[in-house]
Amino acid sequence: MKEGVRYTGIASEEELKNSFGIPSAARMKQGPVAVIECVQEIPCNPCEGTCPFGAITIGDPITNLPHLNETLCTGCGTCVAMCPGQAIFLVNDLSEQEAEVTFPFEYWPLPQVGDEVDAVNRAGEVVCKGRVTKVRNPVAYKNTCVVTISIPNAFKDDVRSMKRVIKQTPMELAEQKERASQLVCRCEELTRGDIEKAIDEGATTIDGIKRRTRAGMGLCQGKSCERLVARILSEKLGRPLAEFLPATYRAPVRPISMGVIADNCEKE
Amino acid sequence: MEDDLRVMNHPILGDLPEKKMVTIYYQGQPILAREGEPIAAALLAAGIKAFRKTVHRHEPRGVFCAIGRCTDCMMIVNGKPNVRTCVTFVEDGMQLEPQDGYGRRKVDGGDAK
Repeated sequence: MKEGVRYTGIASEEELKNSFGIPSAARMKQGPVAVIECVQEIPCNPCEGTCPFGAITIGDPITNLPHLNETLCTGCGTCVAMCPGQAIFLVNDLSEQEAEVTFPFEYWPLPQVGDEVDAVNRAGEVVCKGRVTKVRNPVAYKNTCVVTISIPNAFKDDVRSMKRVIKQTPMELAEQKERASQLVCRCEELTRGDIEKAIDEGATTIDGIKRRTRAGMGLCQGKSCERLVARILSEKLGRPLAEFLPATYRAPVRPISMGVIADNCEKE
Repeated sequence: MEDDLRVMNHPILGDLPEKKMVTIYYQGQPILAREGEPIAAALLAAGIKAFRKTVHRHEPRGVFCAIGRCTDCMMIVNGKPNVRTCVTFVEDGMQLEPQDGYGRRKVDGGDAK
């Protein structure tokens, strides 16, 4: 598959490397700094005019990619709110463990400082947990809120936004909890929540679920849970049920005592 | 009996025919059972619904599928654990014990380790 913003809507590593808006690793260690992930030569220059410190240059023609002067940038975040393409972020390399990433956020409800959120990469996939450290929404930002989250340092080059905060009613939460507690594998006592967690962790087949959770490895050997697990897989992954069935079968099909196999004890 | 779960008048199968009764023992207590019926049926008729406790959460379990697939109704029958009582038939003098977890086989009167 072809990579890059034209084909996937996501700037590729190559494109980012060839742009002029990415600050050095050394600068990121000195405090928050703009990371301009603008890789398409489009006629657009609000970033240049909005930076109070003159750290961003587009010049002439207007289709030039923005150049960042990392020593002039103070990491104030104005350009983050003003970029119409939402292509500018701040990264602050705090320590070997922790980093802060700042991004524009235009969804209600706004997060609150201290919230634990799911941090996502450029493709919108959850990569780690983050904790909200700043939420800035002054009038000048015209309702583009600028959110800062603290994340593990290892993800500072990947995390570029967060999942929306879904506020649920107590009723919805109770329903969700009830649903998650539904018994799926009776022998190993696994709930729908356990199976869904295994899928979140990467299981895509009945065998994948089995290896992660033991569903189907209990006394009944999957006779009760196989179809339920298949249906949860189908619903959660959005693929037809038939893709998951049947799972692997091995003898013995019915529970028998070890003596029958050993042939030196009682017969069933 | 008030809570007798036996179907005495079935809309299709008709009235339950008379049958010889045998005695089985649940935790030492005698229970009358119809000869040839599954152990689970006799226990349900006697008002006993919890046959065992699960391995991890120690929750009570009884008859679930009733066709020998799910293993929910397992008990220790005559000292042998993991017997599916819904597909095992009563015998006169049978000793039934509820099973906790996977159960242990009784050998020479003592518990096997």
